[in-house]
Amino acid sequence: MEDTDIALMSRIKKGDTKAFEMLLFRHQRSVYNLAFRFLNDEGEAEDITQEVFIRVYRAAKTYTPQAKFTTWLYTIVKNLCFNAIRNKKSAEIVPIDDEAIPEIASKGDDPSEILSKGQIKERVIKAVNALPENLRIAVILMKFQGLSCEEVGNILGCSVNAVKLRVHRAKEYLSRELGDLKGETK
Amino acid sequence: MDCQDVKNKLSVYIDGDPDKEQASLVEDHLRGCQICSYEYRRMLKAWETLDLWEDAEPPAYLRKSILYRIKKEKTVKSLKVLIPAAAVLIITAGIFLFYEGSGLKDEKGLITKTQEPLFQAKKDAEEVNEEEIISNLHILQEKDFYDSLDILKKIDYLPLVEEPYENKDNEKSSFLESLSV
Repeated sequence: MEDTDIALMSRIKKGDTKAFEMLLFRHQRSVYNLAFRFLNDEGEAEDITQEVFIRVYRAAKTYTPQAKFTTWLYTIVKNLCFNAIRNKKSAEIVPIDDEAIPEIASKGDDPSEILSKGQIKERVIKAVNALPENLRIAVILMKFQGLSCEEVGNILGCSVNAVKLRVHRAKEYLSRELGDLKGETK
Repeated sequence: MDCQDVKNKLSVYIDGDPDKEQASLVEDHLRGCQICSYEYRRMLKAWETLDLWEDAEPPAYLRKSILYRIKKEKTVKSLKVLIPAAAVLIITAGIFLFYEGSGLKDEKGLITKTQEPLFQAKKDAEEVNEEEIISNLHILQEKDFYDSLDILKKIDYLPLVEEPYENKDNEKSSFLESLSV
């Protein structure tokens, strides 16, 4: 029978490196993709993935399972991603309004134009990246990581209603940007 | 349920509203309202279009790099424990060998090198004095000893020694008699 994440963590606690390798193999892809989608930067996503697993390894000794392992894991990813963005912002010194949704380049394009799958994917990436951080992380966690509103709320440290509101606002924006696209969208 | 209510519930409806009653109210409204129905299709399409952004494959070296860092961390961690432990062991062994080799240990504990001669001299003095006293006790039985004492008493330049007794010869003989008994 396959070990659960919590069982693997208790094995790591005892110094079992094989258990860590198994945990890494199981979650590396989702951690990398969460960071990559949120930051839209391969290099940063790699750095964050490394840092996340180093922290998991270090925290194994004190880890006490309170919620789902992935909730804890994605909270680490979210915190590191927000730190990365904060560092970037402080380096750039550009004031950004967290709640304002900026206009994106695709706005001026002809909606009747039939787009290829690749072009639509590009629009998708642009639209998601145009979302404010608080909405973006909620969308990524729900849509791409397949988490429930409760789990997203636990990760973001907010109520279920707050998550629903964020996702609703994001969907409204995305439907304006992507809802009228013509082409292969599936 | 009016259009604004439905608009506010569209997102939850798309995700699959667990409240079945609310969901059926939204459905009823969408059947009869073209504007809301259009909004719903648009939002649903946009949400489904996100699926085009598939998962990326993390680079192969990433896993190796993480495992390398963990291995390094593990080594550093064990060194952090081993180095102080080894240092304590070496210092303890050094102290033990130092005292064991120099032979400065006795029953009372460790004594320093500077204290040793003083300690030994004191010990010797105690032993010699006791032996001397015992070996010299026979003097008290010899007549010459008391003659010497008489001579010493008569020396003028010893003012502290005075003649306390008048019948010296009598007392001396009685004292000698008591010793001989």
